[in-house]
Amino acid sequence: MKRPNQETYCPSAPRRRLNELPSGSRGVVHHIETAETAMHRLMAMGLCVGREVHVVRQGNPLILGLLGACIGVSSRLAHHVLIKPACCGGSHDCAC
Amino acid sequence: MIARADCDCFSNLAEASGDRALRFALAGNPNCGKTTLFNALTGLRAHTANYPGTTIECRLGRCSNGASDIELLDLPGIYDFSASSEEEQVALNALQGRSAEFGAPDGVIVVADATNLNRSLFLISQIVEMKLPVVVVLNMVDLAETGGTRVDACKLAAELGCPVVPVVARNGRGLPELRAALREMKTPATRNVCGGCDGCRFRARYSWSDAVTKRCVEHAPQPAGRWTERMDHALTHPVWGVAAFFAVMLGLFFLIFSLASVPMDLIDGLFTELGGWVERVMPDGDLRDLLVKGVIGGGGGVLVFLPQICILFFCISLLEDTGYLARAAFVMDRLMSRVGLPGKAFVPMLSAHACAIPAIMATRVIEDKRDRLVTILVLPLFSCSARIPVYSMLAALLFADSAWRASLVFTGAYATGMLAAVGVAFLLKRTLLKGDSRPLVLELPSYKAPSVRTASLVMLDRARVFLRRAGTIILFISVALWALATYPKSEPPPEAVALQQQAEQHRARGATKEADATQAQVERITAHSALANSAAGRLGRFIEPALRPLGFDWQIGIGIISSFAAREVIVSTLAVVYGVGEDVAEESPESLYDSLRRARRADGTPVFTTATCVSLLLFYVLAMQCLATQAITRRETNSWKWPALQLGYMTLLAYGAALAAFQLLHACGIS
Ligand SMILES: Nc1nc2c(ncn2[C@@H]2O[C@H](COP(=O)(O)OP(=O)(O)O)[C@@H](O)[C@H]2O)c(=O)[nH]1
Ligand SMILES: [Mg+2]
Repeated sequence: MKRPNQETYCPSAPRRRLNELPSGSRGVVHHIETAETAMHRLMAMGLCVGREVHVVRQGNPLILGLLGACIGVSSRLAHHVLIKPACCGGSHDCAC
Repeated sequence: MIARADCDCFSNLAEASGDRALRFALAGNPNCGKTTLFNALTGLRAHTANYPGTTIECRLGRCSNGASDIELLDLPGIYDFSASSEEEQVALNALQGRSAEFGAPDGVIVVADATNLNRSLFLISQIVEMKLPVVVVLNMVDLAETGGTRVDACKLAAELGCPVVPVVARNGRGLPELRAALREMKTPATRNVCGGCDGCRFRARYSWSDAVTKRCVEHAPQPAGRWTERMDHALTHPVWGVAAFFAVMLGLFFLIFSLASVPMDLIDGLFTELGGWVERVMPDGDLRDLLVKGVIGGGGGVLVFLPQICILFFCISLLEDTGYLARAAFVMDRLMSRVGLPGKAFVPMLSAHACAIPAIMATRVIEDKRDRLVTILVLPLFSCSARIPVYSMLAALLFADSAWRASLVFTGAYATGMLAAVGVAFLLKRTLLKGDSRPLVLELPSYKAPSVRTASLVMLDRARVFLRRAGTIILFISVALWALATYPKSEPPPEAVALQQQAEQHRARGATKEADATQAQVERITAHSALANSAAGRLGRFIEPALRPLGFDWQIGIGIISSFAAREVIVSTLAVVYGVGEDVAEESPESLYDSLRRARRADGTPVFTTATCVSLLLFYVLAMQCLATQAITRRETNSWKWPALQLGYMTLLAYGAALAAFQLLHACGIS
């Protein structure tokens, strides 16, 4: 299975919020809007600007795949994370 | 040396520095197997205490590396050292030797999860920067191997500049090598991973972890366990997950109440036997009475709860070990956040149905202080098992002839408690302890086979804490209440004296049967009048005006006062005040219920009308009548303010509900 690595993400792709991505999708963290304690914990678990995040299951709470582990996260918190969606290397649904 | 039963771990460490035991701290992510490794190294020679001034538990144990004694300090499981939470602060302080009572550790044992080295390296990179001797324990290599992951320990050791020991904490593989490594720990050469941290301050660290992982880990992708994935999908499903949660909880309750009844009956029987034996061998008198009713009765009252508490914590530990508990907290989070509480609060709420005391101790899993306080405040509203005998009695009084209606009484009582708890939590989160619940961030660890050893150790530990904290208080209170119910002494009433003479006449005539019957009657009347004239009886009469609007008389008042030792004591107290005699009540509850039904007020109307029973039931569901719980609340919140609030609001709630129910039923003509 070919996984997009960080270089294949498209700088001009539209930003979406982490709680809006569909289940099973991947994206790169673009910006984190809040500095609350819970977010800090999430950052220590592998959520980091410029790194990949995997939405295992969308919902409230949602399940993220970070550093090979599953993390349950409130939708309310995920709302503050902006994501650059994966660029599909020139195929039809790529936004760039 | 085995740690003293009640000391703080730090005073222990200070003591130990005298005999020059080495001090090692055990650090690692949550779920990396720290507790398992700690138990494997120290076995039963460990004990749990609190970090001073916090409610964070620390475990301290002893082991040996063959050359010298080692004291192991289990740090809280953390993800990094930025000190954004109390646990991280505590761990950081302990490692840096900044906490006044605790000198700097001689070294750190870092536990890494071999199945997910990348994640562990993040914490390791911070620990190797602390300039302390370090050993990295590569745990769970068995799971890594079956998953097709091979970690090259030699390469990793070279990368980190410290020894790396592969172990399987579950079965002890690699522990001898670990002990050997502990003999020659040295500080790794300083490195600073986080050179040019830009943007996200963790980014350089993550890149470093990625690079090291790439060099040291060989991963042969294996077909992922389809069935675990599918099971996880179901267990975290918004609908099926909740259904599974309730099924598991129902099973747990069934287990607790069915399995525990055997040892509970045994303990009950044992203490009754013991009381009977003391009654036979000791001369009649106050001392015998104190021993039988105060000490043995109180001790039995504490110990009967022990089986339930043991089973509860054993099962919870098993569930936690498998990884299911995290899923349960995950699916419950959505429901609980409507009330303003985190999903994790369900474990204490569950435990509260056995006993509020271990439940309050279990609130430590809740990170946010306000969430934790709210949970502690509402926990005593859940129906604990001390209320069951009271519910049984009232159900029998209300619906003597219909088992299913009696079971409705039970269901109603449990539901009322839960609803009240949820309602109060909702209100508290909107008024006194305002604030959003902390958003959920919770790792869902991979499923593993649980360890019976860990569960047994947890169970022993909790049982010990319960006996120490609650046992002493309950024992003390039952002795105090015995004194209240015994003193001041009064002369037997003239009626009893007359009957006593009759009994003697019977005996002189050789009519033993009649003599015994009359004698029993004398004892009942004497016991009744002694209690009525005692301090407890006077107190009951004193509070009667306040209780009359609820439909209670002064005798029920005595019952309520006596409940402060443990709620179920009201049953035996009522047996005495309504003159049934305690022994009869114990032998056949039916005879107690019958005579309670026949009990009359001064004006000839029955005491236990439907209205009074419903009112008393509501009162027992809602009232704070357990001083041991109050003491635990005080200890866990570090202030008298919260137990006072708990007592205040619960008393108001109970009084209000009982008053409303009685007056309403009375007005409707139901009595
Ligand atoms: N197979 C295997 N399981 C382990 C090993 N060490 C720990 N576990 C399991 O991993 C889970 C988490 O362990 P625990 O000691 O509670 O982790 P802690 O949160 O770091 O204290 C439990 O289910 C353990 O039984 C190991 O070496 N091999
Ligand atoms: Mg643990």
